[in-house]
Amino acid sequence: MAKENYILLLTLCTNYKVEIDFIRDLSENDLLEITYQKTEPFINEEVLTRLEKILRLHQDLQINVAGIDAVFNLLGQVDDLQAEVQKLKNRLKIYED
Amino acid sequence: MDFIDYYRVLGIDKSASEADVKKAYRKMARKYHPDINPNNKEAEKKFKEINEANEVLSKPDNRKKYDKYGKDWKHAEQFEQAERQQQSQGRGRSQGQNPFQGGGFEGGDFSEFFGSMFGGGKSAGNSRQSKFRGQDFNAELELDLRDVYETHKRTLTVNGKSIRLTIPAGVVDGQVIKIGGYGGQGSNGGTSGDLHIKFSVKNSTAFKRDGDNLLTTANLDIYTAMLGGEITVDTFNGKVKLKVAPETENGTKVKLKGKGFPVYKKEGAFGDLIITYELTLPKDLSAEEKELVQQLAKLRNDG
Repeated sequence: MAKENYILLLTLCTNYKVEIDFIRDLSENDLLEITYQKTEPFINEEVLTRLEKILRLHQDLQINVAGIDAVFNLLGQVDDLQAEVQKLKNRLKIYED
Repeated sequence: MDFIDYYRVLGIDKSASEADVKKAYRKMARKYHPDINPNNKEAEKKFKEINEANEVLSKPDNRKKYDKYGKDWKHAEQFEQAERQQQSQGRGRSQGQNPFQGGGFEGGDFSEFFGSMFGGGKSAGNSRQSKFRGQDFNAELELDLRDVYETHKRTLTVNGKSIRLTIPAGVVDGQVIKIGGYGGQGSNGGTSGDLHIKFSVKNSTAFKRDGDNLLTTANLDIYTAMLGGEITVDTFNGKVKLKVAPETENGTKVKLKGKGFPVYKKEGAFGDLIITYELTLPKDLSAEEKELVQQLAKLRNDG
């Protein structure tokens, strides 16, 4: 495990001012992956963007973990649909003057 | 710069209580929050509006000032000054202080109206400042189809930083590329965010793009169409001579392999160029031409 790409969970919780239990809750709901080195929990830096989004949904909009899971599923569908719409729009240009 | 009715923005009455303001704001934030409205500029604009309304109406001092001067906001500062002069001397006052330090949501820029009334044109919200990893930036780059026919370099300025960018040939309209580390700076030892560039590819050429293929039409006079021959047609990067078979019908399609658009990130690979023949009829026929055509028609009809 390349250590520079992983952040100690405790450091992360301090910086983001978030309870460690909340992160564990996210992990239990498969919203975030916690990696263990020996017994120390770490978070991969690559998932920080996702974590920040989760925190905004939770703190700004008071959405609980189950709600966040549902929002993420729907956002995944929105992404797919937007990509499909863009593809279709590009195809439709063939018929435009 | 126009007066903004913050009550209307949040859809509440002037007599709304603090709890009503909070409730209305939260309801609208859930609807327009940028995280649940990806790539929706309208929602982003609306979110900024409700955020600004909330900054004013959820804070008693701001709301009082807003209610007091309302539509006379242009003179609010003068009124305040006059009032200050009338008041007893020596009273402490924190002049010029932005009342919104430490505000909640991400706000981005606030309106000119807000700035003129409360000072400061930007949200001082801290919640979106980097706590660890830097923020991701989004930018849009408009290109012409000709620009993306070849891989080229371009220098962009994003948030005051110059970025030398290689744009690969074959980029598609609406495609987003991520440039790692060119977002906002991280803090507390965190890495920088990423820059997401969305390409908007406009087409001012005579060619239509269908994936990696290019489509175009070529005019073909009826004599060449009937008897066969040779014509010169434009491709995206030059001209080619084409042999036309005798008795070619209107709408016939010809495929020129490898003369289409470059395939994204596959060097040397190109799509095809598909040419559709459009037969053209001669106009303003002379008397002699008419006679000859009539003879032709007679021959054809009488067998």
